[in-house]
Amino acid sequence: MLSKELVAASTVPLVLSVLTQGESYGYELIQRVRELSGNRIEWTEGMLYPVLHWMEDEDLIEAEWREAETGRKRKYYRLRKEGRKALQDEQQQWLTVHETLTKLWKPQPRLI
Amino acid sequence: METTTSFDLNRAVQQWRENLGQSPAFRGENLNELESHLSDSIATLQTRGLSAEEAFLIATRRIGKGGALESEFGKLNGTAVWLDRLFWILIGYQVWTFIAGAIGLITRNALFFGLYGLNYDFKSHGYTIPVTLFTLVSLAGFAGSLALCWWLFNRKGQRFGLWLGRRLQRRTTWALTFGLFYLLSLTNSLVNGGAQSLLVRLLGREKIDVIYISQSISFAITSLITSAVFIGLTLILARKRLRLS
Repeated sequence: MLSKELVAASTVPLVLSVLTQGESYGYELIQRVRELSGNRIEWTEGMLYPVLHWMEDEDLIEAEWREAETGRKRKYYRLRKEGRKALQDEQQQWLTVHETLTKLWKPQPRLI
Repeated sequence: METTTSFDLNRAVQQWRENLGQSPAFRGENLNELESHLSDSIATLQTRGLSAEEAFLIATRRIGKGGALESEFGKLNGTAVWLDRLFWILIGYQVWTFIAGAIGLITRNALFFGLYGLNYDFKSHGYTIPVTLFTLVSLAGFAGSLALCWWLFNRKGQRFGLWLGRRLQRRTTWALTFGLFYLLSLTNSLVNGGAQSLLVRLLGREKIDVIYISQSISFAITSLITSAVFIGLTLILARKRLRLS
């Protein structure tokens, strides 16, 4: 389980990354992230929507209501150019943290 | 044990949606999206062999508690939340003004006519007794109106809110409700005016002056006390709010 703070920080890059694989809707996004994380990332599902709407306001993604094959209407989200740019920035930052931590956590013989 | 009542999934979903919809934090579109999510979630759970009721319970749990969702959505729809608060403040103010006005009207005139009926000599007895009586009656009326409003909003607030919300949605009922409120406050002033002119006729000019002057003095005293009470109430609420947040 991720901490609340980490969930909050990682939601936007996760959504942006999933959307690079094509458009999707809220429920599917959540399923996808849960699956990819091996059930270790569990969002309070409803909390994703305010984030999606914020991303929409920031022009990172765009949305459209369409009828799904089930006959129900769904709101589909698509990545925008600004979103791709934002994702590149996010990628840089997360990789920096990841690399630094990995270096620090490598077994160091001197310490023994 | 087998339950005899069958679970109506559509109704449960609608009820869930209506519950969320009571809050101004959610726009219609937000509710559509959350409902669409809930339906997907329920459908998936049902394909895994869960009953409609079990699927509904788990899906609503996963989507999150109303309060937590409300505060997150509220951040997005800030203007709607703010307008809703302002709306209820105005409604509360008007309801209180009306109730306080009606109570004041009844008690004041009961006192005038009561004194008149007892053959109280307004001219020779001076101001002390009328001022004291007027003040006491006004204060009792003030306390009564506060208590009545407290009861109305605390106990009946939700039902009153639902009722009013439904009326304000359609244009015809909206106009009717507005007219009703207006008529009620108009009745207040009309009855008051009628009672006053009747008193003037019964008592004559000279005695009515005593009533008016004692009324003004008692009004000043009452205002001092009611202002203090309102400031006190505000401070108590502020402290309570601090403790809760």
